Amino acid sequence: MSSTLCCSFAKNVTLRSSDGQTFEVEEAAAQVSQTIKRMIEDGCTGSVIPVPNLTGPVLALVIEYFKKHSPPSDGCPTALLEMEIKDWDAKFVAVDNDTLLDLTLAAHYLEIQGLLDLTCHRVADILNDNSVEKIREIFHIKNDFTPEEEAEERSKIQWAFE
Amino acid sequence: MARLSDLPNDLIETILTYPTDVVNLYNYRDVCRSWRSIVDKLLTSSPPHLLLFEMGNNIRLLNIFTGDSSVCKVPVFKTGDGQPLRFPTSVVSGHGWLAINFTTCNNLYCYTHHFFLYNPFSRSRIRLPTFTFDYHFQNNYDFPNICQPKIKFVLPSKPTNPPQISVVLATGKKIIFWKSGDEEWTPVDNPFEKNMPFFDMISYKGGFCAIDYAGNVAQFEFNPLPRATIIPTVAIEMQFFAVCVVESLSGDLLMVCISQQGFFSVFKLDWETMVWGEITSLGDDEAIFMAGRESVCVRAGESTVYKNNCIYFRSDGEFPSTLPIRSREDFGVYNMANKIIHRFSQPLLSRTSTLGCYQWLTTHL
Repeated sequence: MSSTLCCSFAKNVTLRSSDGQTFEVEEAAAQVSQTIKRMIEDGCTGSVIPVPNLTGPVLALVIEYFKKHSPPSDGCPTALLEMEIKDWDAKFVAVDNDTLLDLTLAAHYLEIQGLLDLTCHRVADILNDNSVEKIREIFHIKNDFTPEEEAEERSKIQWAFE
Repeated sequence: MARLSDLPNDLIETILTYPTDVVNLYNYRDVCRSWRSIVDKLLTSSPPHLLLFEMGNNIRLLNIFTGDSSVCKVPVFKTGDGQPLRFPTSVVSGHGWLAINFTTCNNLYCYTHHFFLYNPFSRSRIRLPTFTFDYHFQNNYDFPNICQPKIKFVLPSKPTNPPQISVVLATGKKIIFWKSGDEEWTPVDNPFEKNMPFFDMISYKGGFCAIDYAGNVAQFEFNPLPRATIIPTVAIEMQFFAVCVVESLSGDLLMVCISQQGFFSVFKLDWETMVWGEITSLGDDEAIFMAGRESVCVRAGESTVYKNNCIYFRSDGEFPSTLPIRSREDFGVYNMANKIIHRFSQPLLSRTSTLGCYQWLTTHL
């Protein structure tokens, strides 16, 4: 394909997930990711762009985000559009906790600042609302303190506790 | 499936600080080891929070640099016989604890103070014995204002072993003392000559010491019985207004004074000669957060948000109106290196009703 001839058309790139699924997406939209943007600039567009850290379902979600956040063709985003995107964003991260973490990691690897802000904020909100035990449960974190360490810490904080 | 532990540490750090709520941050320490080290790192670089006691029983912890604040509700406290107490008359802090004072009125002159210690982070609470004070027989110096008595709770800076808490309540001339297990407060005689008032009392190297207006030091021991020893110092020329006494990070006893011209002077006590010598620098890595009732030294310098050699203070209220350092701005920073005061405002302070009560609350214990 000659890129010089079809520059006025939307150009597509193909992304391949860790489990081998491929997705076609507009180049402009994929460039919401700084990592992909760099790869395109380095001339990787001819072939498929591998995204080895993301599984198919997660990559599919990320591509949804790309599409919503790709720069509008007619220039400046309007206030109305911004509000609509904000609403969409809120719904987008209202997912189960495991998916949320997958998205966070994806945003981190692909350097998608907007998505990273969004997911981190959501994770932080969940953390705020829950007790230590619940946090461990929700996010599969292993309590790696020894019982002695826990007792010691309690006595340190609550040294005055009667 | 991703796990939170798969996230790189810098990303977890970002997430944990998203809403800078220091109370929550403190809870995250207990999740796992790696979180604890992340939180500890964040807490050490987090400034002492300004504690504001607001209408509606809220305690707001304000980060004066960012303006971020978190609110904790004062829980309901009950008297020994189960009567609920509402609307504290004052909330003061000491070494991460809040001392909450409820005052009930017996008659025009006689008030009973109900004191509680509350740790907003661990949520531990301790009821202290009540203390009834008959203001009728006291001169005004002891308790200039009942609503905001110039009382100071002094808590030991270090946990003791066996765990035992001791609290000193100081009011200018009067000191009362309590340690865990005691049923009542024990009065301690004012050790200073002619019952002179002292201007500050702090916990120092595991003990307590008070300073009078001439710079004399009294050291207190409370075991087995309360005892005070005066250590006379070589008097410094008092063209200064002494503002606070603070223990430096390296364990020195520092006294901060302000001259009539508005210059700050910092004196350090030489324990061998008992001379207060003026120092011109706090060293490369220290700064002082000054407040009338609780001043703290913090690590300062490049890896922190503070400038070294600086004294952070609140500009209003606490200082006599004759001093030129009072201003409408909320905060001032005095740089000892160039003797320049830089001022900055914190909009939240003017918006909220703080009942005249503010303290620095250090979050790293």
